[in-house]
Amino acid sequence: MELLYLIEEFFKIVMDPMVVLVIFGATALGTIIGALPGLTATMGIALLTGLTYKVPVNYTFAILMGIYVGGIYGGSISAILLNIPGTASAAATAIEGNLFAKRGKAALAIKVTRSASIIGTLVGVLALALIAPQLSRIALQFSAVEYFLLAVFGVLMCGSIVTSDLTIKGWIGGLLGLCVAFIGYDVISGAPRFDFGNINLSGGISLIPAMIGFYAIPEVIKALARDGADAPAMDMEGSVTESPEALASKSVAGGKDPGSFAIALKNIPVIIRSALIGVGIGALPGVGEDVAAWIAYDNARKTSKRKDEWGTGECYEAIIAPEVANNAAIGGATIPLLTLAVPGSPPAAVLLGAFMIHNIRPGPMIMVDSPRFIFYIAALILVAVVALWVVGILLARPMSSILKIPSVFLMPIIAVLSIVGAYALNLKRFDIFVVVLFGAIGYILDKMKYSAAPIVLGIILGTMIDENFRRALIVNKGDPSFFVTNSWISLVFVVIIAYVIIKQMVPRQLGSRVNLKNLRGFLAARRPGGTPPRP
Amino acid sequence: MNRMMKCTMMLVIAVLAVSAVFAEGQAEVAYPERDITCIIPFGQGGGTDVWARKVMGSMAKDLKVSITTTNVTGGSAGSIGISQVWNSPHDGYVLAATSETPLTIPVTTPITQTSKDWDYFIAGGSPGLLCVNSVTAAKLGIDTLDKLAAYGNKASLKIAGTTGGLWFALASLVSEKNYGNWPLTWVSYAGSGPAILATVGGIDADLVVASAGEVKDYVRAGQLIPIAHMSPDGYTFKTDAKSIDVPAITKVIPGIAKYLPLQQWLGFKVPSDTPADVKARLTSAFKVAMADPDMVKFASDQIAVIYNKSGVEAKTMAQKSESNLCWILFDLGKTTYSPAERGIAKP
Repeated sequence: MELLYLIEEFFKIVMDPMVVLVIFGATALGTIIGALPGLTATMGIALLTGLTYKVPVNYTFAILMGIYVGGIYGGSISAILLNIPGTASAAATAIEGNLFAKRGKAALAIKVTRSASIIGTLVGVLALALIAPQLSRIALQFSAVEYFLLAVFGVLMCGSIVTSDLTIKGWIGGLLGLCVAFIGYDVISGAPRFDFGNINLSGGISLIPAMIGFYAIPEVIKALARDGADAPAMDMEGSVTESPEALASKSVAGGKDPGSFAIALKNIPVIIRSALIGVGIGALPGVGEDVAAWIAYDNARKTSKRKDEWGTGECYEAIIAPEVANNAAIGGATIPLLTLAVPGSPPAAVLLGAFMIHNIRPGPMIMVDSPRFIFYIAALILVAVVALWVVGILLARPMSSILKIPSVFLMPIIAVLSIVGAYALNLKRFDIFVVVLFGAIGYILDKMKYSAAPIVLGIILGTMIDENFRRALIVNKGDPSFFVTNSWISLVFVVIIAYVIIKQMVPRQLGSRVNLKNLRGFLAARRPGGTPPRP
Repeated sequence: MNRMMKCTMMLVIAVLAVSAVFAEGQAEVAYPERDITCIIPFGQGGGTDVWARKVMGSMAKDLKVSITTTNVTGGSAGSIGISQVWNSPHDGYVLAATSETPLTIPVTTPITQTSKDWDYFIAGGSPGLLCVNSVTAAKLGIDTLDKLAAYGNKASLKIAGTTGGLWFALASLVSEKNYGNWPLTWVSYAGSGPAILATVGGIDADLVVASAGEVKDYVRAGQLIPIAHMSPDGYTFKTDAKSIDVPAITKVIPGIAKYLPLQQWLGFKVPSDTPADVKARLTSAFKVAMADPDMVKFASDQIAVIYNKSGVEAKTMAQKSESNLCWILFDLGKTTYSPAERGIAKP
């Protein structure tokens, strides 16, 4: 029945060519906003919400949903091309995606993430249209204990973000991020923390300026620090031998690569898991596309059968998982937005404001007051998926040729965009300072071979861990046993977390045993008459 | 060398571009001659946000410029957004959306401006209700105020809300030792929305104090039961199907009557030293906006009372709320600075 409503609303929208045109335009604009470093999906929606105040309602939501879907996808483009995630949700995609670009496979990677985004969004829409009430009921079962455990689970993946020398650098980065998250006014006790009496610090460090600082500024400094056009556009720790122009032309001429949907089909298990993670995490109030992408990335890595491919720039799973999940989280985040009036993610929070302006009051009564509204929004996202497909194909080539622009021209533009983007989100001058300071720190950490990813992850999850841990203890009168006994959800989390920790420790021991065996074999081979080591 | 020059040129262009973006316009002509920004110090979807967007939307029509609303959240009681407005030129081009909550900024943060330093435009507000989650209410038999008052194990009940501000003060009046002395456990959230949700979920909290507008749909859906009006008078909560008579909290805790009424009110403010002609123009636009039939319908949807106050009337109302709120928080030991040192009179 729900599916019929969805199809009916879909055709109602498609019947109005003007609305379709608007969605296509908005999706294209969203993709570009998402792809520009510094300009995020959240900002795109916020900007357009102001501009569409006087626009008729049916166009307004067409525009906003188009921007949302396009923006979340667009973030992956700059993550792949420049190693600068356009939105926070694309940070996980940058890890492997940029390695594709360095191997001259940027166009292919963009195609694959596009297919992944389309599939992810589709699953999210279906969840929104078919099981929104059920999912929001489960989401309400999440209490402080479950939120805390979910955040701990997310942070655990710091250990599996590869750095070329030491695994523990992932953990150090994660801890640094957690520390940054503790700055500012504390919600639980109502006290300022680590603000040194500075009013700006008492508001905390905003994620977006910090992220822009950590990702964009070091790339700009690195590019400008290099001398001459014949140097490669991106640092690859000495292993790049081709010029950016050569790389770019290779990227654009990606015609002989296998089809992106064919690649996606080969990774069906990863797609299914990531889509479920995306919808589930998205449906939790206050947890967004970014966390969904990280958890899907981590899950794909842990369950991968081709672990040796990770970090080589050949691993499709590593870019498919986060992109499926962050786009599936769009439908997911729309569920609590519509059924509980509590946004599931930052862009959804801006959408809530837009609904309110147009006198649509989401909440538990929405199915009674405007029963078709959920299907209408789902159908809009569905049309935006089609738009994403077309727009993605049209934009892929011009976007990948960004690499052709010499870095002396490209990087100053990126620097300006980043700073303007960081400022425009909250109109806070302090945020510009944050970009510059974190940019400098990011550059130093990059020189010391620390990845920005775990730091950003720590900032995203720090507040969630901190607040919910203390809230859970307050609610349960200081009894920590509640973390296991609270509900079946918390029990499942505890078991998974314990498993992950044990698993992260065990392979290291196994590895050392294997090395020992190799050594014995090697020594045996060296002995005259000894048996050579078996391969 | 050539490349070096190019590189330097690009950096110069970059710096120029940034400074162009941040350059502040000048020239004094009839107000308003350019677009206005309204900073909302709280998140999207909350009472302050929704009202500010509505009022600004209507005022923009009369002022014939566009008013951009931006949420600048963080700090204590919206201090980051409010201080941003204070630090902008006092020329009427940057307005601060507000509720009664930012009145507690001078006693919780190093910011010294009090209601004396601002001029207020108070649009409306919704009554405060103490609500109980319907599942807990049925399980423990506490679905009315009398039953809750008689309930023995109040220490096992948890009440959700945001630390600081109006709802916190009201919840504290009920639970703190020197006031109502109901030993409820306070669980803090980042805003009314998450606090209400935690109560609806019923795992983290059993009770919540929030505005009628905010809990309306949950009451209609039967997930929350309003059991007390946080005021000396009773209140009738009207939904489409039925109307619920909500008794005054003072019926069971008469001792807090002297602190009441503590009302929610929403609107915007500008620094007092904004030029008089600018304030006059804002006042006329505000009056036009409040007379808009659309505004009346909006207020009734939000279960709100329209106050439509500006000038001296609004300032007096703000000062009264400020004095009440700040001194209650001070008595509870929840302030960093005493209201006396900020020159806030005792109620």
